[in-house]
Amino acid sequence: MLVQDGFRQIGDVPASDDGLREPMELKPFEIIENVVAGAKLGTKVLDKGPAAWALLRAVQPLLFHREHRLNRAARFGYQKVGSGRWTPGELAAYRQDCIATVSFFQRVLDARDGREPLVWLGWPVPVEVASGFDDVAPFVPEAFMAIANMVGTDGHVACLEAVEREGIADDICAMDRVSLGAYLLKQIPEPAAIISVAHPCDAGRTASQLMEYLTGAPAYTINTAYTKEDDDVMAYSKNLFEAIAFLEDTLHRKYNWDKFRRGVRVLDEQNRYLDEITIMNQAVPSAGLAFNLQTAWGSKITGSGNPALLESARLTHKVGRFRLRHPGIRRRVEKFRIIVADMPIVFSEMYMWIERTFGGVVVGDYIGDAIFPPIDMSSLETMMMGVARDRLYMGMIKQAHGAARETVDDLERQIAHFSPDCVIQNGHQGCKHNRALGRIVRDVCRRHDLPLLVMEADIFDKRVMSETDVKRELTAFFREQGFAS
Amino acid sequence: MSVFSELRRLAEAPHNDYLAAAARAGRPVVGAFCTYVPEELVHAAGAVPYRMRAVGSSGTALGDTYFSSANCSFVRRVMDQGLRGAFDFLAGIVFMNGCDHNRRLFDNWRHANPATGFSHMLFVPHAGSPACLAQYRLELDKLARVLRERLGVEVTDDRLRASIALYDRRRRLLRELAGLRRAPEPPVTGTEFLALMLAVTAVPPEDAVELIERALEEARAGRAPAGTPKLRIFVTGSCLEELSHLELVESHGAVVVADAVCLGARTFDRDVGDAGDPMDALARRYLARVSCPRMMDDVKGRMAYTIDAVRAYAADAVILEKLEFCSMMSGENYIAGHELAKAGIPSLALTRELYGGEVGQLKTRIQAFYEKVGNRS
Repeated sequence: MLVQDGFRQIGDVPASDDGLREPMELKPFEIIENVVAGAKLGTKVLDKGPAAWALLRAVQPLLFHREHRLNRAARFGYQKVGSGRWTPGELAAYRQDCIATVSFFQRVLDARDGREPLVWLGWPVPVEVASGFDDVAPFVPEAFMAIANMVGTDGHVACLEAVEREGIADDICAMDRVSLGAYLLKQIPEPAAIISVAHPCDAGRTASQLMEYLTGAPAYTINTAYTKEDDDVMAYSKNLFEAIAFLEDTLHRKYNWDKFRRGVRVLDEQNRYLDEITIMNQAVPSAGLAFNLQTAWGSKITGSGNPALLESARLTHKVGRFRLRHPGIRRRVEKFRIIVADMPIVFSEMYMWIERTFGGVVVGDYIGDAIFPPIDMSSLETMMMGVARDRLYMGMIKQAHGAARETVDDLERQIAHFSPDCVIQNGHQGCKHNRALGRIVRDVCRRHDLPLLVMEADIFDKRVMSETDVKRELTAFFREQGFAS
Repeated sequence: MSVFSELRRLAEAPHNDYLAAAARAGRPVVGAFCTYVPEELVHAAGAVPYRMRAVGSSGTALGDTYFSSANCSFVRRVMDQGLRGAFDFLAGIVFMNGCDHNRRLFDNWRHANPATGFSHMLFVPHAGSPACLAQYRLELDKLARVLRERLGVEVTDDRLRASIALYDRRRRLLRELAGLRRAPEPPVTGTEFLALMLAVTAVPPEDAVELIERALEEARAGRAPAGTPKLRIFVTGSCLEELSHLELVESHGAVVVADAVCLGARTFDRDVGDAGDPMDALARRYLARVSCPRMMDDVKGRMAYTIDAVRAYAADAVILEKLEFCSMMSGENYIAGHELAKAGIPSLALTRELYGGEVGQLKTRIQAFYEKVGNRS
């Protein structure tokens, strides 16, 4: 607990037992089964409109502030639906994400039971490479990191400890180690084939090779583009064609190019909504939809081309338009504006906590920022280039691949467009390329006279910095900068 | 004076008389960060390729203003050296996306802008598929254009063929010298071989060839600096340039007889050859040579190379070297440890900081490992 002059003040972080960690025994596939059950429940509950909204507001005292033994299984799901701060419109939009989640993970469970082959894709691999088959289930092992909280934040730790027991060094990014641990703990099913990808970082490259080694599955490596220039994107898209041909040969199945075309159309339309929602956040006061965009990012990794995600984007867009027409609503909330680079995802409700506690609104972030170029639908080749480009512009990939200017230009653009009052950057322990950019990012912020907080929490390993510690550091920063008293 | 003494002197300084002479003759010196940067291309553009290194580094104080403590000591030391002017003799540097640390070294270098001429990033694919080969070939064309613009020399096919022939000769001589280490009493220790590699990648290749020929001559003359070693060691890893570290590995009667490191077999494995389009041939050789963990589709190839080489050089054990925070070697060493165990070959994984000291700790681990291996045989 942060104590200042013996008095609790606004933003003081309540005592937490998140240092009390218990070893977690996971039953095989427990987390995915919980996710499917949770998403099915979400689909039903969120269908109730204002009643669902009232219910989520009512349970806020039990779930908002901290994780403990009694709420750890429910808190993650609660955070995913906005921690009791989302409006009925936002909840309706998220219901569509629940539908997409069920369809993706249920198919994974079906594949586990032998109904069809399962293909693992590295998370930056366009899911279209596998989802274009009629009878192949795609799976993204790294997507597991985004759901492992379903049993509480100890779910991540259980996976990380499994990797440590195996003797794999802990200097690999925790996101990738969670995926490896999930495999070692039998939380994810065996692959019939693996499509790896050469970006955005060393950890991904290493984890891919380890996964291939541990599973013994046949694998193809997609080499990606270093820049976003046409030549590079063209070469990347040729790799995507080669990957599909590899799967056809390996799995003895035909790719359905009509399905691919339909999915890409959906993706292109979804992107238009996401672009506009991102721009809505530039308004003062902003539309306050950064967390929703972060959710859309996660859903897109596994569900790109799913019409439910298009509907989710459309409904979120509707919320944004309403807020822009009625700026008074958000003006009451928004005291200052923040750009965030890589908030630790393990504590996924941090935006809502900052908003509720300090009136700080995240207007732009690395993950949610969704500015995608339109896709040329004139041929399969241009569509594949569009898909390749789409994933190059996707959060975390767009900043992490290639040269630092990809990150710096993005930060400069966000500073220019989003009118922030401060920047928060998290240097994840395993994120070597990001940790090497500290000086450059500091110089950018200094040039724009923006206060910068660099945290050293980890993206998925709460043992590095607990939720309490992250909140304490944020609190101290906001106070020091005069955003909170 | 033994050529090995001269090689050691060359290895221990970032700059040398050969480079000074080249500069006086009007030949620019261009730095290169990785064995995936074809030195032939730089040479064909009229320059002397120079393998970047942290030799002579006194610390990381200036480098740490750019990099975090989670970045590897190689880039922090090289950055530090660059900021202190140790590389001001360079006309340019070809960086390469070997790993995230190196990738950001390019960015930080450009941001800091030390007086080292132009900076170019050579983007090397992470696999060897046909699409990747085509992509790499395009990158080599881009590099040739940059060299022409910066150095004013067109890389013609004839110039490139001549450079390839010279570098193939250097590779053949290095392989020949490395092959002599198969003898029961190796004529060259691992430390001496590393010193030679550091030296010949820091002088014009014409001089390098002469130095290696002299080394071969001495080696063939029956020298055996370590006698019959108690243990024959194979070393794998990435960045390994500290002579003092190999001296530690070679203490207690052990000798390093072969390796799979950047300043070792990866440099001289297989020739480019003189058939076909020289740029195509260059691209093929560099993507096909014994790889490092950055190449994602060749784990089996690397493991097979290591196990074959261990047997060919009659090595008793393998030391798996890794710099702290090198994620790629972390994964690689896990796999190598398992594969070597399956093949009945003992191995020891060592993590170190470049020029980081830790001598006592490393010595204890190495000594205990050697005792274990010695007791086994």
